[in-house]
Amino acid sequence: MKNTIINKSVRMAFRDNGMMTYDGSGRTTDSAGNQLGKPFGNRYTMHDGRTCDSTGAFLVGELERLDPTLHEPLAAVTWGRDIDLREDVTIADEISSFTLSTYGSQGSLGTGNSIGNGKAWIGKSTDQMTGIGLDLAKIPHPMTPWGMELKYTILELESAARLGRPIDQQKFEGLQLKHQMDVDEMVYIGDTSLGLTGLVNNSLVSNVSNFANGASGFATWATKSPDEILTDFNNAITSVWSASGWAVMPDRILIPPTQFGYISTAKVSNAGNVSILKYVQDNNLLTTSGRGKLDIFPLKWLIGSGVGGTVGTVGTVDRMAVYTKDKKRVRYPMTILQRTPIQYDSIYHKATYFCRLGAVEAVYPETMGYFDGL
Amino acid sequence: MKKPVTRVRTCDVAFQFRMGAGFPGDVNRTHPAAIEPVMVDVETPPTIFGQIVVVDTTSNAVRPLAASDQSNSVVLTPHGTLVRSYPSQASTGGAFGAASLGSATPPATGVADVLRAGYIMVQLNVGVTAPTKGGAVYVWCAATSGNHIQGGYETEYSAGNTTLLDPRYTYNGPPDSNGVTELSCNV
Repeated sequence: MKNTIINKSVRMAFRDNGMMTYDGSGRTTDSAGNQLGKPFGNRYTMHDGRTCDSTGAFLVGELERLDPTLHEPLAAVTWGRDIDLREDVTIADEISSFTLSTYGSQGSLGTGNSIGNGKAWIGKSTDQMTGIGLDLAKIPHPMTPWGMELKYTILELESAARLGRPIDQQKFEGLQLKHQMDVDEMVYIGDTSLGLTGLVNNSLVSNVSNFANGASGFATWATKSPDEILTDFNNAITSVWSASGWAVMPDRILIPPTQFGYISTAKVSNAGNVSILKYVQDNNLLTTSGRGKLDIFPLKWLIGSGVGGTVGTVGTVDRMAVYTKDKKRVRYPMTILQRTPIQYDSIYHKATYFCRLGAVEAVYPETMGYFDGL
Repeated sequence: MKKPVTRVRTCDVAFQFRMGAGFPGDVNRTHPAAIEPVMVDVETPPTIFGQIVVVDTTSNAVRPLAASDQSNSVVLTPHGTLVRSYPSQASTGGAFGAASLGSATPPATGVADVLRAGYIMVQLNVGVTAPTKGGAVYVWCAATSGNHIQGGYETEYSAGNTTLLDPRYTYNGPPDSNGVTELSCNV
């Protein structure tokens, strides 16, 4: 959870939650992040040599020092790094949509509409002016409700507090992690059951191709020379730049972690002292044309996400995703995580956390491209 | 009944793409869930949380299914499914009280909770065919044989070994990689 990147707009603060064991009790962790536990008031002795937790309350020996630190599962999400949020959507909205405009104009002279022709020339006495045509498309995506229940009995709560390992806080952090990991999956690959796609497999993106083979006869970077890898980068950028009408040069490239590791460590040549990654960052089209820095990041969702590959399976077909991180080009609609008031039902305390998660809106899919087989 | 040792590691602690489905015996939805307190049959106590239990008519306490419950033709209506409260005091442990993930052992005596109606996480026997949503529930009643643990969940009929549960008990979808899935009971 320490590695979790949580967008500010969806971060739930513990404070004023009213449901946490530690609400209003001041510090819950020390400077090293260790759980301080719930204070019992006076000194507390474990009379029976047991401390309170697979059942969650363990047997502990008299000469045993049980580290009270909570060691949570390891998980990392990166969606906050790679996409902007569309924040105007609300919990009431069932569909998020946008329009896409296109224009048309017939050349006034009737000499054709090819390159070099078709301008809107008029004579000094012309009264038959050509007009501008307009067409709009509307692209909708579902905003699917997401919800999970947080529940425990008063007895479980008190037992957990006695142990210094609060079940409410742990379950809440588990729920937050589940929410974050679900958002991460929605942003990058969408949802199989709902038929939704994400940033690295978007169904609207048509610029999908395989990298060319290198001199070795293979396309994988481990078999290519640094020059060939740089060519792959620049060809990918050029391809997307071209598809966007030479209007938008992509500024972000995501590659699988293994390939990122390879180009980070392999030197550009035996005579050089910089990595392939550094060389690419200095000599890519975006940078050399004076348009800023090209962001290159590793992404786990690209493992096996190429055509014919299996997502998450190393050794299948990996993918490079090229796009522009700009809310005007691609974005993700979602609402903030909120909850119901606590419901007291017998000895149970329950609250349901809910939000709506949309699907990645590729407003301009022309500014995105996928290149497989690296 | 011989208690099974930890058969599977029900949860990992490094989530690459998604976390596991949960832990056997966790009531996964509570709107509403009918959870009833029962006595544990001291002669043959349940061996794992999330296990199907029936009432022993002699002690009026619950026990897991055994060979005597096996039938190739009669559908069995169980009393419920053993619920895991969390946390609760461990009564046994490995060397120096070691306890691995997913190794919780239900209480062998006293009061336990049983889900009479609702949704609960359960552990499939290792190697069974993955259940589908709405799939029939079988329990291995014969003596433990290889991966087929007595009292454990199965998805297919096996003559002389399994018993089919009341059709109000159904699987609610495929399991995670640890064989943990959701069971819909009397809903």
